[in-house]
Amino acid sequence: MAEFQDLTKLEEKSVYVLREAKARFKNLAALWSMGKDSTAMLAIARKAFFGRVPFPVIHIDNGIDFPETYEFRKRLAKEWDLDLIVVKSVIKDDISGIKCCGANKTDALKGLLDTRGFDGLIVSIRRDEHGIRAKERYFSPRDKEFKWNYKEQPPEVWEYTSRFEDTSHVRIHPLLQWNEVDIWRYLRQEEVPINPLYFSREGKRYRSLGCTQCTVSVQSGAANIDDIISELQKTGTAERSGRMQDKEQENVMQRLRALGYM
Amino acid sequence: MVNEINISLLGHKDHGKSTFIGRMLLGTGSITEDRIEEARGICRSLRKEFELAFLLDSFVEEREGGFTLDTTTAQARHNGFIYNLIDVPGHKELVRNMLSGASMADAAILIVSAKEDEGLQDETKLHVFLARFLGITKLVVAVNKMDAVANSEERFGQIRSGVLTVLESFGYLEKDIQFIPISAKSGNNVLARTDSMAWYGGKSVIECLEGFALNQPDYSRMPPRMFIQDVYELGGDRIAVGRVECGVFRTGQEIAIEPGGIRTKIEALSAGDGKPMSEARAGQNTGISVGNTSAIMRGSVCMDVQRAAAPGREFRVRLFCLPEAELLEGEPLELICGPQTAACKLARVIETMHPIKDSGPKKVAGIVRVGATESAEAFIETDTPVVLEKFSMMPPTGRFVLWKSGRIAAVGVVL
Repeated sequence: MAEFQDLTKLEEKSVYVLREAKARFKNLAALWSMGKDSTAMLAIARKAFFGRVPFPVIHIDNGIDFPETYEFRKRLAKEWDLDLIVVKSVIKDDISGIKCCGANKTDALKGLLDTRGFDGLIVSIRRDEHGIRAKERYFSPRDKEFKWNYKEQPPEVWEYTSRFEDTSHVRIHPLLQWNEVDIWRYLRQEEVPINPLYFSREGKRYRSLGCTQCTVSVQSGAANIDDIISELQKTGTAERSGRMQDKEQENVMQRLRALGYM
Repeated sequence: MVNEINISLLGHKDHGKSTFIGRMLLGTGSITEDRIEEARGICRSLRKEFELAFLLDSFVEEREGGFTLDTTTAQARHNGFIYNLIDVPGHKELVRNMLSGASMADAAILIVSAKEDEGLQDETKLHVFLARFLGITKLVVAVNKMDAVANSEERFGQIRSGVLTVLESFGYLEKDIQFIPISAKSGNNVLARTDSMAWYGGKSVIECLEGFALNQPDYSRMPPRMFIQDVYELGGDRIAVGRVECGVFRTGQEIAIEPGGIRTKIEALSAGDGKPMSEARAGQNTGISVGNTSAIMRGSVCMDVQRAAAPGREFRVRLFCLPEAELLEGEPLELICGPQTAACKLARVIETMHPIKDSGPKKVAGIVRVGATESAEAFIETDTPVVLEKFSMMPPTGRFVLWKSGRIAAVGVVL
């Protein structure tokens, strides 16, 4: 039998974490890539805060995202009345990996956090995406250089008992306990709008979305969510196999995250 | 509905905690082939033999050093059960990371190596002490690396009796503990029982875990408790939101909100999307309309009026001081129990004990200090009233951390 996590329990936990974040930080914001995870997070936030997302959502835009992604951004921002902040990241010489995702996107985010003074940043990462992300806490401080001091993570005993002083901002990870397949089951259950790039066209679809330059589509005939869910139960490959920044060297993700990448 | 349980690994470094989880993931088919292939590739590039621990230990430092630096959780799915396996570091210096993982556990597996030069060690003692401290009663002891001692029943017996002495010294009872000889590396007795240890007639590890998962406490049967997380202003109404920790709240129910001595009736309960709820059970988030009662704020505790706890300022507690900290009588501390916080101090230390060095508690007159990695029984005094209850009866309002100079200095439970 398929052992799926209980969606109700997953949602309750995420609602609790989001409300903790809202209560504990003065100036909260969320990253929104228009991908399935951060969109699911926004759907949960609407259920946590009586129908409206009460914090700004940030898209770090390097200008080379897919047209479908921009269209989806426009549509949902309007439908859900989102306070959308688009911050342009500048692409320098080298595309993908440490230099692009690391330097360009992280620099853009740093600039924005400096100007707007956000002290809490909601990031929709999941443990099952990557071994390094599995090492994260629900609440995770970043220092003034934006660094993740993973060797000295503050303890999170029982629930969320850490306080944060002398940090640049705190990352909040309300979806840490979700698996890829749970996100799809939730999007289906809640009838959440989805970026069309996830569905098969001409035998291919995107399983994990980045920009046009560093995301590779996978062979798939999955044309709707039901197809995606059954595909995921059979797959032998990991979700981020189409993401170049995970691959270059085995420890790229660790270096990226330590430097402030999402 | 699927049965899910959080299980912490415990034990000394190098005794095989990460390897055990790797075996569970592999054996239950809960990890994709390319992740396994990736781990194999990393082992090759480090010129090491493939180790299952590499499926968990993902920091460069962990892989090169062959140890676990920080806690991580991996999910094994098997036979209708979901096991959230919490890996923790074995080093005593990393006990803050161990507590971050182990405090979320419903049950634990203590891994002890059977090898001649390994066996029972300091960290094993510390972890058993902390498991007991955290209230983990469901425990199996997996005696690992049996393949390295020729699957010897005699060696298993030696380890078993040594570990049992430690377990009993910290309050565990022999009848509650299952000892299982295993090899995490080869998989013997992890998922299925093996012929190579025919002398062992007990359960495999996963069979024990299934039993634990089927026998979890039902928090909704306990007296109702909810911490107020926040109060939202919505269209002229004020809604106090929180997650029900224990019991069930229903519309029409008489409730007490403390501290503050508020007595009121629940007019309406609402879900976060504004939909009305007739009841809110343990684990559910809910909102209670509170009108213009300004005394209700983040940290207040909402209870059934018939079964409410009185707020107080002095509590008898057990503490465990983290390795990088110490506590002194009278110095300013902050108590954090969920969203509830209060300035406090250590009023009187009754006894202290070092779980590794001491064989029992030291009751010396005039103790004014709890040292690093020491546990203590003591009285704490808060500046303002708080709701704290016996940990054994009411875990959510019975556990706390003490905050000192910008970090967590100690964890505590109310006696």
